[in-house]
Amino acid sequence: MLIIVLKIIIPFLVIMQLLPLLIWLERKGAAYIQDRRGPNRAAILGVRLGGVVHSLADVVKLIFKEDIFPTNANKFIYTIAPFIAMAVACVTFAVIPWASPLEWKGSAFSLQAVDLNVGILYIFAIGSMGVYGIMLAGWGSNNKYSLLGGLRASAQMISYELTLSLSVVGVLIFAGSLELNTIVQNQGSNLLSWNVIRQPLGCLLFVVSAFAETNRLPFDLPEAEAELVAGYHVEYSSLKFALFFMAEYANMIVASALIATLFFGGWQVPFVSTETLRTYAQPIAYYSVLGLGLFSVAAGWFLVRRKHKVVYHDARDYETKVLGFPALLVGLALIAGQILYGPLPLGETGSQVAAAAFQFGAFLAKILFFCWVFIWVRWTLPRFRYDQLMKLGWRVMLPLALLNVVVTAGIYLWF
Amino acid sequence: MRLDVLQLWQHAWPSLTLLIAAMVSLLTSVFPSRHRARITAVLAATAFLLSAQGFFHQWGLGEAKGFEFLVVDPLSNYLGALIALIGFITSIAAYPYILSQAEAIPEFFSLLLFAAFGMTTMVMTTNLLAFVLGLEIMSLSLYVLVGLRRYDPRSGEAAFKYFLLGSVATAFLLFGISFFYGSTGTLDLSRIPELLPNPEMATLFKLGALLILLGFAFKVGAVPFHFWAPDVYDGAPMPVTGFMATGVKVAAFGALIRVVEAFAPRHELPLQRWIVMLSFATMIVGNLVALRQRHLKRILAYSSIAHAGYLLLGMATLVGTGEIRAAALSPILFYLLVYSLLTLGVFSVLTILSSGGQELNDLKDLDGLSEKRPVLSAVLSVFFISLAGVPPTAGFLAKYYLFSQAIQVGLYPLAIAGILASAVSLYYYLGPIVRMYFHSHEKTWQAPGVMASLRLLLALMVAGVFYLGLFPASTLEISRRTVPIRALEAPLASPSAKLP
Amino acid sequence: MNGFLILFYFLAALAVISATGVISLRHPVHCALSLVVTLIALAGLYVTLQADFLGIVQVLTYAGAILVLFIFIIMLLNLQDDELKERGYGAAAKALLAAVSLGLFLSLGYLVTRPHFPISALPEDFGSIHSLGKALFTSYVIPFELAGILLTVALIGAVLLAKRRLELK
Repeated sequence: MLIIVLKIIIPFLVIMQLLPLLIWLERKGAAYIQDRRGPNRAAILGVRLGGVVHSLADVVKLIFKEDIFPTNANKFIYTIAPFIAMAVACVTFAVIPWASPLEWKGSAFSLQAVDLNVGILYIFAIGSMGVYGIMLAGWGSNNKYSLLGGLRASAQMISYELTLSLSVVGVLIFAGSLELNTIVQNQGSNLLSWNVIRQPLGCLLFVVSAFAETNRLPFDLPEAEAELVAGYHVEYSSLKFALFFMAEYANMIVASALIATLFFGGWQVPFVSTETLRTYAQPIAYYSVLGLGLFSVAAGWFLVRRKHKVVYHDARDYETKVLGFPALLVGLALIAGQILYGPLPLGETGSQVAAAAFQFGAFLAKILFFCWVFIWVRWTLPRFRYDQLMKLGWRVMLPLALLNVVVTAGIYLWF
Repeated sequence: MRLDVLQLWQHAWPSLTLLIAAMVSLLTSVFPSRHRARITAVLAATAFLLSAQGFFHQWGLGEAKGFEFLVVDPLSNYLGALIALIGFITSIAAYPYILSQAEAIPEFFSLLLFAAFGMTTMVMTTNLLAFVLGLEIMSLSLYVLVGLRRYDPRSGEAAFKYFLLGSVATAFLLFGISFFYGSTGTLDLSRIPELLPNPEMATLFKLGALLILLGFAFKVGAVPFHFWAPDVYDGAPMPVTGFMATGVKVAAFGALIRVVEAFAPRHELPLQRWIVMLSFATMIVGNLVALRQRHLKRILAYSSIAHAGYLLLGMATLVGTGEIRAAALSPILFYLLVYSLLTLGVFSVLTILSSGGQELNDLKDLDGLSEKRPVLSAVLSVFFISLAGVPPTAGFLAKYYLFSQAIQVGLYPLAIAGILASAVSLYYYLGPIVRMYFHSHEKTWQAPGVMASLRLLLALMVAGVFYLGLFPASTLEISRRTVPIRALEAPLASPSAKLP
Repeated sequence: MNGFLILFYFLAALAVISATGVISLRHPVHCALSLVVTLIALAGLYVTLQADFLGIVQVLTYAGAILVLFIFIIMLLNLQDDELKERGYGAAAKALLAAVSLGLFLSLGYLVTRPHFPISALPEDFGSIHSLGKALFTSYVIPFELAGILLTVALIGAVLLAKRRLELK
């Protein structure tokens, strides 16, 4: 029972921890793409962490803002909409596998909250509920712009859901299963057998429709600030707005995790199979901790050596020192510990857990990379016009997705 | 179990021809729009004719072959041929009409083919699952066909009414089927006679059977489920009304024959009483209400309701003791043939008259037609008189045959009611004829000339009316030799959910 | 009483209550939302009956696509409150109708629950995608294809009725 609860809670916590990081990444990324510095003021006792602390300030702001009900808004629907949006984004995570299943006492112990045999369909089903959050927000706010945003969202998400589902069919044909873990295992650790190589068109279509499903630029017509002010969440403030804001990033994480799982080998570490990882878990763990120590020392040294500049005349001027010395010390401690005690014996379970930890790290790296792609695209491409969006969806993507299914099935049948 | 596609094609190709033609006709949009209507019309007519020929050929072989969900037997071939012929006549008669519309819609013919395919599926199955799917293919095509005159609000209203009420009927049917499945564990009608009656399930089974019957009653327009018919017939484009009045009846009664065949041996069902009640109400109400109608299409709608009553009378005679009486089947089949011929004849002429771009509707529009279009008036009169059941024509013989069967079985009250009702019907069938010959024309009705092929077709149909009335022997023989197969060779196993 | 049974009764109650909401609520959007809840509860019922695939597909198509379009249309119509007049039934008529419906519901429930349905053990892979797919493409291939034709006809019809009007000749 405890294990089940943990399996449910841990992925949820991971998302919640990633959210502020992503928001920071978005701001910094936008800033560097637009040739500015981004958030760099908010600080706690002089610690800014390159702007990460700014997210904390945001949270405080959102909590203490006034929660406004528009006149004549439908109270129930207006309230429930952001919750639907956020809940849908979080629930989807339940079936995503985090690492190779552990073999414990002869039975496999899967590292995902639930192992459904309809895995991917579950994600699509729950994902298709996500549109309700936006639609109801748009309708319940009793605002023209909101309504337009909600209408756009529903039309757009339904249109692209088709392509999203169809583009995966090729992957499913190769894997012969809808279970995400099987799909990952089927891809193997070899880069060349990943689905992005086997299904390039499917991957492209999936990524594009994932952008549309998460309502990110270039498909963010439901909120299109230039036309609809802020679309479906014009009227929202305080924590309800925060929920929408978080739901957007949570959706991004889910989409990235799906792209990684379906097309980029999921938790597979490139070129290192699970067996190899488990066999050599001890040296790998030893050298990676050592490497971490070295990196920490180097980073700390770099920070400590930075020339002291008096800019702010307060605690912020000493931030480099405050961050650098602990990093240096932690790094030295790690290195010393590794050298003194030597490689620790891990045992059967230990090596499995270590291997799982590495795979989890690889998966997280992939997720973060695709999140960065989302941000990258957002600040690079302009928005579609609505008719272009529909034309792209129905006249280009859908036929291509169908073609992909037919061709893949044909190839699978004849070879 | 694997489906042998080749074998399926071998036995069911006439039906599949319709499907293929429907699909192909959708692809004709690559041609310039000027020719599209013509190409699809020719394609549809050819496919219908080919299919009718195929069905007849299969009938001639006299084989019975059961697939998992489809049945090819003389009954299905007879009805299939009839449906294909109805489609053929409709597509020929509708061609000038479609050209005259503000929107020349070649998809009309595609939908006609789809609807006919659905109808053939309905009569070619003993499985309720396939039956419902066929029914819905037919119904959906018809909903759209009814609403084809998009600029005409009445057409839209009719389509919407038909859609809503048709959905209700389907809901009845599906509800009944679910009870049926729950109480028997099968969807296959051909297995019903063999199933052991489970006394606990009797009520459930009865309810299921009743709901299925009510669904059918709705589709054939039996009283008290007939309210949709006049409105829908009134608003639908003229050739579509003709197609509906005939094709749907043939398909629904064809499927009803199989249902009655399956239910007849079950003594717990008061099947005959139900059908007799339906028939009685339908004949009386249909004929009496028709007397008060002023719109031509409404008269024909009530006429079709009345004829559904006569056919239900035939169905009542079908229910014997223990099993269906094969002798009672032939009058029904013959009646279906004659009714389709006569009704299509009426609607073909009315379609020609409506081909000027304006829909003929009011009874007044026929005033003095005999002076302007003497031949058409004469043809129309023949069909009307025959519908009323006046002796030397086919209509009389069909009714005579049907009622005499009922008397043989001992359903005297019903037969007498039928005879009286058809005597009453003479009044409203003569109404249009009186209008055509004895009223002066104040308004000149514009209608174009008639295509040569259509003239030939009408001539053949009129000849058919007298041929069937005077020399019915060979046709009756055909209908006598048409029997459904009793049970399939291979008992069906439903793999996922089978009750022991 | 195990957890599944409790879940089943909870979902069943939810389905019935929200279905009542569909026909008794005043605003069409609320009705549509009740329908969404009904469908999700039904999907849950399927899952408790070990038909996972059916449950998921139910959510995916009905709640996730069809009902979205329903609500989309209702929103496009953008009905104002004064257009939503109270339906013209008096209280007595309403009570009568409710009593009749309740009577029907109870008698049907009685009919369905009274007999003992023979229940055989489920096969190992009941409700799984593999068995479902096999059944669909082998024994049930004819109804499957017929359903495909049905959808094609529906699609053609919808396009035909909704397409841009041609200029009158």
